[in-house]
Amino acid sequence: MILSFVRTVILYFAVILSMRVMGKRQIGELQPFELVVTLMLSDLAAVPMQNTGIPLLSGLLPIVALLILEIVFSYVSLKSKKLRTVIIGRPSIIIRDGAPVEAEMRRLRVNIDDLLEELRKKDMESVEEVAIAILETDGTLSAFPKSGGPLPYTLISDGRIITKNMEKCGLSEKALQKMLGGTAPKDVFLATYTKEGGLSVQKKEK
Amino acid sequence: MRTFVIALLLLSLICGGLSLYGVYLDRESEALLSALSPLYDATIKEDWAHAESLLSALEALLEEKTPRLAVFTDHDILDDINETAARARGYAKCREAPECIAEIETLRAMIEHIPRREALTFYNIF
Repeated sequence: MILSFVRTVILYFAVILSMRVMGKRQIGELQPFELVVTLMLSDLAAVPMQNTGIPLLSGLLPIVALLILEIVFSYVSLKSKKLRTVIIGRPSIIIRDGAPVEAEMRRLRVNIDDLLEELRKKDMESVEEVAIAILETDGTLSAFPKSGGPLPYTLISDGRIITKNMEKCGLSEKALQKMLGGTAPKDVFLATYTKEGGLSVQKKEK
Repeated sequence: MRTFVIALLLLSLICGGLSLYGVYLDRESEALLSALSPLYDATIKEDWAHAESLLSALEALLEEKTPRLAVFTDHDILDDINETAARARGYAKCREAPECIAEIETLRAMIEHIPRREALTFYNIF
């Protein structure tokens, strides 16, 4: 009995430490790979906690392995947008200008009842009053009413120019460069643009 | 970046540690097996005095190695090995050669299995 108690205390601290190292993202809304890590973590800790015949290291080692994988994947997805898309996916627009985007809803297997339910949770009564609704990578729905004004386009994200959004705004790279002044796009962490408000730039920290 | 580097260092440390652990298990298993061979010969020859002293030496060796092996090896397997050694000792005391030999062979199989079950093989992975 005392053995189970001591092992539980050790594994408890190991899991707490892992969650702390993995960061706050793990506790809030989970990305698919974060959910996998969290589910596996609890199971890995539970088995050696109950079965004292299993060496404690058999439980601790996989926890450390998951922790390492989580850190490596988070870091790689931070650096590479392509890998981020593969691992995390990308947000999908499922309502545009008050109309559901049926093809995207079919692809994501989201039915209209689920969509209306999510909108009701956001105090929106119908699809018509939504300017744009985005199904985020963590599964939550972000909806913006038509009355709220236009959404800004992200033109530069982590030093990379998003040409697709540039085309939507009708801007050329030269025009963007002119708006940035002396700042090179690779030194910009985030640049957003609206026709009314112009360009908003946040430079990278040195 | 620092966390990432630490994670990679930890990963290489684990990989290195696990390789060394494989070597360690091989060595410990070999040491135990080499103690079994003379015991087997003495039992076949029914040299019981010698067999009993060899069994005592084997049990002392097991007592010495078990705590370190228990860090990585299933405790049930180590308990089984100790129980089989105790049974072999009992049969040696009663001068029961066939049963004693059977227990020694079981011990051999169990000890050989320790590094084998931890080896990175297709069979073990799947």
